[in-house]
Amino acid sequence: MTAVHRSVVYDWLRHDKKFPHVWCPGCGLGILLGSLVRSLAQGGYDKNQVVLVSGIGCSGRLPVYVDVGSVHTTHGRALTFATGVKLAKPDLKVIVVMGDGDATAIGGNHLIHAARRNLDLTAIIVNNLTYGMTGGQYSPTTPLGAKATTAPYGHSEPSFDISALTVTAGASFVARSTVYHVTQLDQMLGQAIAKKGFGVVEVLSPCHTNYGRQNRLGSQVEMMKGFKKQAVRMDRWEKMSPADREGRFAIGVLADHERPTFLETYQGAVDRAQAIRKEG
Amino acid sequence: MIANEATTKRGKPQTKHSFYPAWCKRCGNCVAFCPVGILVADEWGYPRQVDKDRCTGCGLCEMLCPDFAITVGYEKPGAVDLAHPASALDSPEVIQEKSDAAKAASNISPERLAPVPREEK
Amino acid sequence: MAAGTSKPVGRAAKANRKGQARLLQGNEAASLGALAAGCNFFAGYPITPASEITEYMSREMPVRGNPFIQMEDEIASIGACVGASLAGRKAMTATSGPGFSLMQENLGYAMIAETPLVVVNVMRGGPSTGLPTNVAQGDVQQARWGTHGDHPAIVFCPSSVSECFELMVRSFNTAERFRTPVIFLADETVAHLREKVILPAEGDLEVIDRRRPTVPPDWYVPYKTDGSLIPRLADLGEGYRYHVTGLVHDERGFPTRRADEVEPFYTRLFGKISRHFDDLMLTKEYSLDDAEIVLISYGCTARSCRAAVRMGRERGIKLGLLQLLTLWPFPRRAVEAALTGRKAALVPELNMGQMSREVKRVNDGRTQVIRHSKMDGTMITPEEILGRMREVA
Repeated sequence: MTAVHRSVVYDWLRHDKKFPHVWCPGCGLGILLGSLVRSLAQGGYDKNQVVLVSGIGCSGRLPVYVDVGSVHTTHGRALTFATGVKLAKPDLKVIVVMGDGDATAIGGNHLIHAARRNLDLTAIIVNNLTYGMTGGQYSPTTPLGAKATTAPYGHSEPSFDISALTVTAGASFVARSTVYHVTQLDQMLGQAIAKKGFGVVEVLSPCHTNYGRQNRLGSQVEMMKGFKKQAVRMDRWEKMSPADREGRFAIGVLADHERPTFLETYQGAVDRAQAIRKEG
Repeated sequence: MIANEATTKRGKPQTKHSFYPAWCKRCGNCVAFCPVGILVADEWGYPRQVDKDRCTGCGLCEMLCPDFAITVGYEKPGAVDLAHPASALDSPEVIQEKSDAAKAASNISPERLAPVPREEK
Repeated sequence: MAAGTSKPVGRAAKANRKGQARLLQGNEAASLGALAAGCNFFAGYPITPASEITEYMSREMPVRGNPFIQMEDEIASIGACVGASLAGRKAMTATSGPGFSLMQENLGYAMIAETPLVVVNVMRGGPSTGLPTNVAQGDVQQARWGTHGDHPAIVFCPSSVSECFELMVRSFNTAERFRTPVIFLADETVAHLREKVILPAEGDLEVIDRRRPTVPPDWYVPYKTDGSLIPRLADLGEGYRYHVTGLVHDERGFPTRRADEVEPFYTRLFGKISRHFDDLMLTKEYSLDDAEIVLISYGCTARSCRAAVRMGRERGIKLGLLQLLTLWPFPRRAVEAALTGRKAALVPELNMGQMSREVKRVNDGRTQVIRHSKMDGTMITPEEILGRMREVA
């Protein structure tokens, strides 16, 4: 497959939707939007065969900008709607965009069960360590001690590792990247979308407006430079001592294995049911 | 791919940045992350290319622009670049409106428009 | 997965043979009704007293090559149904009180996004876990007002096993026709009741499908409507690339906050139902013509009322019954007519007066409306109704 040019993005943005989009200047969601569209175009998918589903929050506004079937659902429930769409029409490429609060707090149950069920969906979890749209309250990924509008004296809870959580729950493919590592992000998204089974890409994205401001992390530029410093490629990460890993995170493919998908195993049930009925 | 006939001193095809200020939110990603440092913010915070020859055409500025306001590889310049692919998504009225707004903005004092200067760390 | 079909197979086919009487449970009849109406997607979560429907569907859906899924909770179940419906399926979920409470948020989503869908709520005693295996009718107002924000609601309520079948077919037809979720509000007694049912033959059933766009995708404006006020719904993945959202949206489906777009949106959402009130408000009358005292009831309680009418008349009391098959929109005209010229009206129900309040609202001085509430987890008996009658008459 020949590489598509970056400008393919403009063919996939919705022509009857007003730009610039709603997000703050410098928000990583715009970078992710471009990356997602490039990976879809690169994968050679037909716009008519792609459905984007999102929850609520800043990330929930992403699908509306893409010229595909798009469903902006309720908070945390995007995966459940996507499950319905995929089961109803297994030929569609169903991609779910969620935030960290969306996917791991209110929708945490749906996330682990979607991973366990291994239905052929792609979940993109935009992790900005906070609830951005509502003003910077702490989320399940806010680090211990960080400040939030609901943790003015520092956060008292440890945080979730979204990727580790979904690996454990049984997702076929799990990768982590950041919006700074945009070329890698293109690849990770492409792999996750192509993967048969439940694919997860955790995307770290700066929320300088709400998280960065409260924690004195500077602009999104400084926050993205922070990602550059903290992110470690998988091959190096594996050789690092626990002490060295402190304050850093791994990027790359964390899990990639073959497991029967829900549609495959359910087809088995369909075959058995029909055989039994035929026998009478 | 966009064909370019001009070449740099090093013999590489010369790229041309195309900016679309109507969509630009002046976040500064392109300026901060250009690997060869040839993008600078003008007095209002909009990006500008200062050294054509050193551009490697990597496209990082385009990919790191959250607002699809930069493309690398286009020839036509202009305050609101009608050749910019983003303009295909806007109606002529909107383009005119944004073009006028950009012009009007350029008449206001730059201090009001410029992004708040950020402390260097 | 094989292409979906709504043709009955095996046992269901036998059940559909014309004129054949069958002994069926309410939940089974409701499931059969759903299949007869073309239900080809089911997502649910086990809960007493609605589990039989989920179990029945888990047997029948795979035979037809259609999806059945038991989700992680009721929120997910209705979410999957909305997704499947947007992709063109006729979707249903079944639950009871606690699960119905969980579904309210996405029920509101289905309303604002105008997604056809049938939600079964088999009422049990509440609030909370309440009386899981006992009958109650406490969800009548929840079915109307459960989800937040002002919205129309369509709620059907069966009182016999054959009504379970008929009203379920009607629920699907109504959901598809009006592009809205429909609530099938049964109660534990009717759901677990076994009765002789004669099911209509396959060809005798009217099955309605949603109106899909006939214009090419480029011309499709998802929420633009004609005089019916019901926009055409394109299946996801059929070339109509449109946006669906739970935000108030304009004709193109994009979020809006403009007053001149928000107001027409709500007006249409209500108007598409209120314009067709006559088709929606179903009631049945028993000995109403010369009745001096009228009973107004629904669900399992209407069964006791029917017996009370018969027993009362044997004893010389002129009783009549107006049974509400549609609870919402409230069948105002039928109730007003039933109240006119009577000595009194009695509204027996298994709650503290959720429907009698509504009857009192439309009574407007016509007669004396008395509520008869019972909240002990058992049915109201005909004797109790007759006893109460003696008190008021």
